[in-house]
Amino acid sequence: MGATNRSPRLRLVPLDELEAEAKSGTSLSAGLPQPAEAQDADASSGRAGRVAPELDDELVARVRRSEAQAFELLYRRHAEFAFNLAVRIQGSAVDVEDVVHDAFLKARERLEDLRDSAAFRPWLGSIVVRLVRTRLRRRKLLAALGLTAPEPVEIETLASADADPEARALLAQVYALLQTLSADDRIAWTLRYVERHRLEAVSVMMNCSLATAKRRIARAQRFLNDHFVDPFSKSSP
Amino acid sequence: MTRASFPEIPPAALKNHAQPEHVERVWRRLELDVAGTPRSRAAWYWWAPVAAAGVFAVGVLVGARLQAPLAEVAAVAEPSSALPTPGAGPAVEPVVPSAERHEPPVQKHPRARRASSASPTAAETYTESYQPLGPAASEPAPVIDTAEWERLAESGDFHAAKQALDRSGGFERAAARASAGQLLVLADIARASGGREHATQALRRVLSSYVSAPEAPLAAWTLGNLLEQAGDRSGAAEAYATYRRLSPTGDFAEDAAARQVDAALSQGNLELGRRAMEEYAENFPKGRRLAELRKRLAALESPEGAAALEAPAEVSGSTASEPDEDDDSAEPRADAPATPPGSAREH
Repeated sequence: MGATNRSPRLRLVPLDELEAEAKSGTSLSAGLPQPAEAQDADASSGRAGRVAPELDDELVARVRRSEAQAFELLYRRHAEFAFNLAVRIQGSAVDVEDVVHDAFLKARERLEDLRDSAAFRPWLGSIVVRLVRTRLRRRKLLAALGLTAPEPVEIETLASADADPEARALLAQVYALLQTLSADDRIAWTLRYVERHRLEAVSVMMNCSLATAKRRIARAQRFLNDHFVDPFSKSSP
Repeated sequence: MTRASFPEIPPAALKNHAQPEHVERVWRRLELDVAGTPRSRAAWYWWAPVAAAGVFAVGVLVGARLQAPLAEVAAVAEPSSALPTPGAGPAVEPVVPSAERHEPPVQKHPRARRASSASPTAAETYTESYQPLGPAASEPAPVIDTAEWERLAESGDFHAAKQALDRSGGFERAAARASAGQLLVLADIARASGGREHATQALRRVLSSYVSAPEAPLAAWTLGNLLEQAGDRSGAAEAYATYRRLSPTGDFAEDAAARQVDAALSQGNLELGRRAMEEYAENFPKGRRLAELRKRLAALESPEGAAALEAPAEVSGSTASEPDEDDDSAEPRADAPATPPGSAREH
């Protein structure tokens, strides 16, 4: 496929631009949509009539008072975020329901630890990240011991049905490369460039300092820059 | 094929995994779990002490078994010829000529062997009357690789990183020859162990010695946060201005501009506040804190504002309480999920 046939959705970012961003901390995605806005999943699932437009901090306060309905509202509001986050940083949908289930259960149990009730979502994100990271490390260890096969990249799981072949090929290659990285680098890069969170949010979700988050992203970026091969470039044989 | 560019992943290409049936299925499981368990972690308080006691007991057993060889290593790692014998008062154990000594039959650690070759007599004398190393063991030998603290900090274990840093000669020694990236790590370690002064020092060093390094903007930003928390508002404003100079379109450029206004207003410097405000509005016409800061400036400019200037306002806005920097006694991000700055905004 020549460059002229390229899908308009697939913008090639010059390598030096990405490197400059990785070095300076400036954001290429500044003009892009920010991570998903808080959406009421109930509204999209036909339950809008039952859901009062309460803020997260109000719902968290109600869950702290052991109101079961508030927990359901909180779950439905953030389930989509948790599902997508888990699958995208993991690179597959294996056990994703378990991850989301455990994350919400832990969140409920540890709600007292959440100091800023309005920040429920990033806090939940940090729990999901921790669970997935543990899982990735365990899988890597078992694979190293020959006790299990490495998880294949499930492109059907990652790519939407409308994604064009270029986007699918891109996703497949990026995730295949990410699989070879350490869990921390892989998660940091995915949070930044797939989930499109800002550096601050990445460090919050990874429970590390900004400097550490930045180093991990930059390390993964360097690796991808070095190994990524664009199959649709003009210079393709 | 080329490796000249790296494509951006289009958001529309990503699948939405929260299918209603999945969401429902997980909720059904959660509902059962929630119905069966109280939300409190009362059970945790029961088994945690028991588990801690168990771990302690196992540790004691393992420690007892390993004590002899560990003693050898720890003792020989001290090359000082004037090493006092802990527990035996200030007197230094007399050096016994090697020919008269009984060589201990214990096999030495390779690293210990290197140390013992430097000053065998004192080291082995000390070995014979081993006591755990205490504060009397001055001028510790850098038996830990300098990169050790960096690796430990990288893995998030700041407590161990601080210990490794101390063993390798301490903060000053490491900072003297650290790269910009290492200085940021040192600042992280210092903040995690309550060493705000050291953290500030490391960050200032990045800005003075490595101002063109890619780490410099982050150092300026972090320095601004630290100074703000320490009450040094003019220093913080300067650091934020430095950040904006170094990285005008960086991730924190808007926050830095807002905090410059914040700092000026908190100092009661209306002139500077107005200028910073104009700059903020010009560069970030849709700034998240624009309305709030304009309101605050207007309030301070009003006749009643004089009273407000008498009592400096608290640092306002969620961006001012960055958990990463707030608690110097905690790990840099140990409490991060609790109060992430602006994270509610960006999600």
